[in-house]
Formats: sequence, C-alpha cells, structure tokens
Amino acid sequence: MAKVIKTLGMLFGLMVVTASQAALQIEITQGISGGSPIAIAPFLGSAPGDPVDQIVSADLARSGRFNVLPTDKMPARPKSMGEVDYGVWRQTGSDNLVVGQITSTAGGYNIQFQILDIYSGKSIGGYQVQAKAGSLRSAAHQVSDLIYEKLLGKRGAFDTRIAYVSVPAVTTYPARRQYQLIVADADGASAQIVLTSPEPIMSPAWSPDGTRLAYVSFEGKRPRIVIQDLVSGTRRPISNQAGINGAPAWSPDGRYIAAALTATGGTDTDIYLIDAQSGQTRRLTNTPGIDTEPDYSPDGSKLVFTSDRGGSPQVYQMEVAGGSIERLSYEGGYNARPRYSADGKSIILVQGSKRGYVIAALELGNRGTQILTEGSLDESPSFAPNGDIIMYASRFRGRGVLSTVSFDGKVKQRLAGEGDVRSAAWSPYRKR
Amino acid sequence: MTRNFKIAALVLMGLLLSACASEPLVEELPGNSGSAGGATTSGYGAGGAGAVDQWGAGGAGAGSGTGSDSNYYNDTPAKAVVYFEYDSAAVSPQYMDVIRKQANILSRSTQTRVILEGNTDESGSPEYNIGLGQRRADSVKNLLIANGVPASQIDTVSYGEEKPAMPGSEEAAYRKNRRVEFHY
Repeated sequence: MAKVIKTLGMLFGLMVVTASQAALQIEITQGISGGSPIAIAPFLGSAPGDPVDQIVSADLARSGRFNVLPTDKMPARPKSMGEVDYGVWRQTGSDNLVVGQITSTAGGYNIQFQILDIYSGKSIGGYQVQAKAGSLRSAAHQVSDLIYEKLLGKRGAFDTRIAYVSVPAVTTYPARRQYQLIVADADGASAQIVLTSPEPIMSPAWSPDGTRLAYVSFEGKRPRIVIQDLVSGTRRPISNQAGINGAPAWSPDGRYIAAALTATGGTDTDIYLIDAQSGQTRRLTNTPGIDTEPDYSPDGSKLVFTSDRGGSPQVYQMEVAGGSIERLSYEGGYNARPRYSADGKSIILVQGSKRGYVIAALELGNRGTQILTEGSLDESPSFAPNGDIIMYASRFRGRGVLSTVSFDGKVKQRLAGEGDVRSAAWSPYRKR
Repeated sequence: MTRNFKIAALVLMGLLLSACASEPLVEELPGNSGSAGGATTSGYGAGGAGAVDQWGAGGAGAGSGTGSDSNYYNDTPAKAVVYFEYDSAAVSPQYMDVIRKQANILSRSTQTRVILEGNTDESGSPEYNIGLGQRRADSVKNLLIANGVPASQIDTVSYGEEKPAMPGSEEAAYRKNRRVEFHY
C-alpha cells in the first residue's frame, strides 16, 4: 500500500510547494488502434479524489493495449453484475466490462470489482482490494494491474512510481533557479518533493526494492552521488571523490551502484562499481574517452554504457565479470544513455542525427533499431518495470516535459508540470 | 572559492540556522542533521525538522543583482567566459586574450584560486554532457597552466547542460551556453 506521505513547507516562504503545485498534468497526444476494447463502469459508492473508474480507464488507455470506451458512450451504468444487460453492451464493440463497488471500512475502503466477458455474458474474475485512507489512488492502480494481468497474462505496472527532477519556472528577478527531486505516482499524481537544492540534481535511480533513490547532487557546487532513503529521509554520499561522480545505476541485487567516475588525475570518466554499503570501488573500464551512463542487465551479468572511445558517443556492452567490450549501436552518429528492457532482450537509447534527438529501441538479437519518438530533444528514457511503456524527457513549447510512449510506439502521452521537468526514472514494482 | 561564497551567503542572509551553520561544507549532508550545504529534504515520512534551505530568497552571495547580461539567470556572475563550438572542447584563438588576462591575475598571488565551470548546450544526453563540460574546463585549465599558472590554483567542475546561461532551444541560446566560466 502506498505510504502516507507528508509534504514539508519551505521556510521563509521561498518555495511553499504543495502536492498540487508539483503535480503533473497528463495529456494524451496520440491515440491507439488495435487495443483490446474494454469498458470500466463507474463504481458504486463514493470516496474522496478522482473516481476509481477514471483512474483505471486512464491507466489502461495509457498502456497502449486497451481501447477504453468513453463514459459518455456507455449504454448504461451498471453497479453490479446483476444489473448488466449484455445485449446492449454487445453493441458497443467492447469485449470486457468491469463493474465495481467501493465500501468504507474502519481504516479506509474496500474495493470489489468483477471483470465480465460481454460476449459470453459471464464473469471471468472477481477481486477485492483494500485501501487505507489516503491510499485510494494506489488501490485504483492495483485494480488496473489486476485487470491488465487477467486479460493480458502479463503483470501490470500501474501501481508504481516515478522520480524526476523539476526546475520550476523562474518568476522572480533576479532569476534564481531551484532544483527539485520529486517522487510521484506513475500517472503523475500525488507528487511529493523529496529534495530541494539551489544546485543541480541529476539522474535519479531507484534501488531494486524501491525504498531508496540514488542521484547526483551538486550541492556545495560539486557533484556527489547520494543515496536517500525515501522512508526515513536520511541521505548519505556514496561517491564523493574529486572530479566527476555521475550516472548511478543499481545492480539488480541492490549491492552495487555502477557509476561514471573520473579516474585519479584523469579528465574523462570511466565505469566503476561502487559497493552500496562500504563505498569501495572497482574499476571496470580504462580507456581514453568518456565512459558513462551505465545500466545493468536484468540478470546482473552485463552492463551497457555510453562511450565516445571511437570518436562519437555510441552504446557498448560488457560483462560485469570482465572481458571484451562490444559495440552495439551502428546507426546514427550519436547513441547514448542505454537502458535494458525488463526481459533483457532490447535496449532503449537516445539517438542523435541532423534531425535531432529521438528515443530508439535496439533489439539485441537481430540488432534492429526502431525509432519510437519524434524528437527533437528527447532524452533520459526509462522503462516501466513490465517493459510496456517508456517514459522520457522532451521539450514542448519551450518547457521540459515528461512524455510516455508505449513500447510499440502507438500510444503517446505528455506529462507537464509547472516548470522544466527532466531526468525521470520509473520505479520497480511495488513489493507485493 | 566555494567556501568563501558560502560563508558570505550565511552572513548576508542571517537566516535562522541550525547550530551547524559554520561547519565545513564537505561531508555533512543536510536533511540528516540540518547542517550547511544548501539542499533540503522533505516528505516521505521524514520530519525534516532542522533541514533549512540555506540559500533562501536572498541569493547566493556577492554579485547577484549586478545585471550581468551574460547570464539570464543571474547566477553569481563569472569574471570571464570562454565560449565553444558545438561538440568541441577546443579553445578558439579569439579567447586566448581572455586566458592570458586571467593567467596574469592568477599569477600575481599564490593565494588566488579560480574555479573553472564547464558547461554545454542542452542537446544530447545530460550525463554525457557532464563529461563534455569537464573536457572544456580542462582545456582552459591546461591553457592556464601553459601560461604559467600553478595547477594547485585551479579547480574545475562541470555542470553539463544543467546550468544554462540563456534559456531557449535555438542556436542563439546554445552559443551562450557552451562555455567555461571563471569564478573566483
């Protein structure tokens, strides 16, 4: 269940940030075709906040795998299985209908829902989700996950979170920037600021158990890699050497952080492993050129990273245990910031050309590349933990925004905040 | 030097600070003990009591408000700036006068230290741009050394694309952002 979250007002009224100011607004920019047609009827009962059926509808639509019937096209609003007239629902073209009931309990709410097969006129599953007061959105996302998994046979990633850096629009003169690290639900709601700094914050990375963030902080005007415990709020620097400490990436077992560090006396960064407990480092690359932006494969045996050892930034892969380093990217003069998919079979990356910077997917088997976005300043792609949606930073009307695209490239959304939003990372699944 | 800036900021602002206001910058992270450093944590169950935004509305120290038009955001103004071509860390000949002048300033006293801040435009990947900004700062550092400045008087840091001097996504802004700033 989502933990109860507190916001902290800033002293001196400098940045009195509330959840609503920090929240992201979602706009669908490209619709879908060919998704599984489904209808989510408004649930019986009421609870504070957005209606559960709206949250679920938006989740399923955003995945790109469902064609969700708009509420105004519903022939009826059944609140239970017994009320459903399957005849009129068959005319909507929907395959499935979800009906549900919300009831209050001592500590919060109980959500029950049934997934109905419209053509056979039968229920294919009934479920119950408990929600603590204040965690209703998380419960609604769990409803989405259950529907997704039942109908697609694949785990949903709706009850997850994102961490991103936001630079609020500057409205004072002299203009002064603040940098914020924000954690929000994956749909942008319930945004909470977990760090504010007058110096840049970069590259948030979730620990595999979802309780900590590693990130780069320039507080004190030099970069450190910091680990922040999201539950207790405590922070500690894990890499604080002179020079560059950048691009943290957790190993799947949570024991190591791969990072880009400047070699002693060197200019360009190399890839190192940092023990997340002790801070001890092990050097993995040692070549002239910038090596940065490492990412672990899901099985922990490999790393992909960006290197310009060949003259321009390209994506390389190596065994963590050591061995030869293989170049993966050959299309375009600029390939960087690789991230493995959840199944380890593809990577997404930033590809640059004269047309600008786009997000592309590279399949590791046949090395085919598919461009997923239009650019021209797309960067920092991150996968949902089930690999179905990619989130990335882009620019729209002069501001940094977060955008999502389904892995097949068909469904696009834009999440815009009050200021410049950048550098996002999708959390792992919540522990069940 | 950053420490002088920070002490000046604390004095100027006179904020109600936690007891750790005069601690050295480096190892303490705010949010744990409320010590100096400028960043504050909030939310997610952390009480955050004592974690104070050191920098506040007053701004970080000397020089803000002088209207330097080389920096829209009015970060502490640079004493000198060297600009760069796209994707390059090579210092163009037209900036050698800037280098020589700063080298003269630095050579006059072994007490003078400069921080060279390397920056890039926003195109490309941010972490890679940290590396590119560092190359630019190191290029300038090497030229200062070649002009007689002891390496011990020169510090470098790269902000990559994170601290643009000029907002915007056109070349006119990008040209202003590919730079190394001299800060004393």
